Amino acid sequence: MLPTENWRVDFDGHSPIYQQIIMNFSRAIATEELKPGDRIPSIRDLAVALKVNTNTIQRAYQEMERDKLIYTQRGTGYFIMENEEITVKVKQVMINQAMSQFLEEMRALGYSDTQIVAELQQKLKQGGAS
Amino acid sequence: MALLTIKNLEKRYPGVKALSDINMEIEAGKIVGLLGPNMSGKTTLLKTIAGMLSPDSGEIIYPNGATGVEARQAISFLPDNMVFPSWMKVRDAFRYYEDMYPDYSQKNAERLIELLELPMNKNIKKLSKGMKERVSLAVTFSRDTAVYLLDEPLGGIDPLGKMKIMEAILSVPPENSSILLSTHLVKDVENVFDSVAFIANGELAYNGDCEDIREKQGKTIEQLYLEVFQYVQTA
Repeated sequence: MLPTENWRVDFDGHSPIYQQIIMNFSRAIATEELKPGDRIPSIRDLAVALKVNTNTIQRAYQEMERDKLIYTQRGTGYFIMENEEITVKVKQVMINQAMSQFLEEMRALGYSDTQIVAELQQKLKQGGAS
Repeated sequence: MALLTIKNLEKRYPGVKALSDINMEIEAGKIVGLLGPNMSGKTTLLKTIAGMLSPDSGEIIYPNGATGVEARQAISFLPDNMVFPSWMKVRDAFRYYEDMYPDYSQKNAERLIELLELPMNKNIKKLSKGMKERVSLAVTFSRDTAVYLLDEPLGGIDPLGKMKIMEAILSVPPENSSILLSTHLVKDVENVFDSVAFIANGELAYNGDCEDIREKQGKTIEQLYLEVFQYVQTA
């Protein structure tokens, strides 16, 4: 029913659900849980699986189609774009987003670029995640 | 184009204004949440749209400009508490709907019976509140209509029942039909709505698109609901 086994079904509710769905697909593409050519659920099936409005899923699929992450084949369904570069491309977009968010928060806390680099090196030395 | 339009609707009960100046448009294929505390006018609005109460002033424009009986036939209504004759088994309720309504769909009925795991040979009167609510929703959706009005379909239902009812709402009605669903359990169902209308003391306090609320205000529907109703004195 869900596109992958590790699919997140809880939404944070503060940002548009269609964007969170696109984010989930992007993550699955970047980690190769979804590979080029893989079929993804129909709009209605995903709406039912996630208990989310059908028009919301439709909007997510439309945006992903526009961004060339997925394509539709009339009568047979939706598929991940058959392009080997897609994994790299999506990963790059997600890395950019994560980095921008990190930098934005560090700068909001008043850190200079040199301090940010120092903090990051310190953290990596301690083994990374909190 | 709107499937259902409500214009300057007013409804008075002796001594009280139950609804005043309600204006709403419901587009085809949309699920609209009608939200508000108990006694705010949700049931009166749904019953007026269903044609069970007549408005004191204002207008309701039905699908394809239908009026009278034809307008009422475009609507399938789930009242807050559906009453079944005491002899009725679940199976009989479906037979009754099949006889009563030309838009009865055997396909819908079969899908609902399976999805909601209805005990077809049991007497409805002997069912739990949650199971009776499932039966009520199932017969409402057994009709292929343009508009479904659901009054508190999730009241008194266990979490599993809620999931199943939401699944039915999302998968059974025809794609171009619209659903107006009243509830005060905002958090449980907010992801299912396209838009929400807040009703306070018989007036429309807010009406907006759900993804817009999340995107532009950074709020959940429940948060906005609490904000709007925090300052409303309920009668």
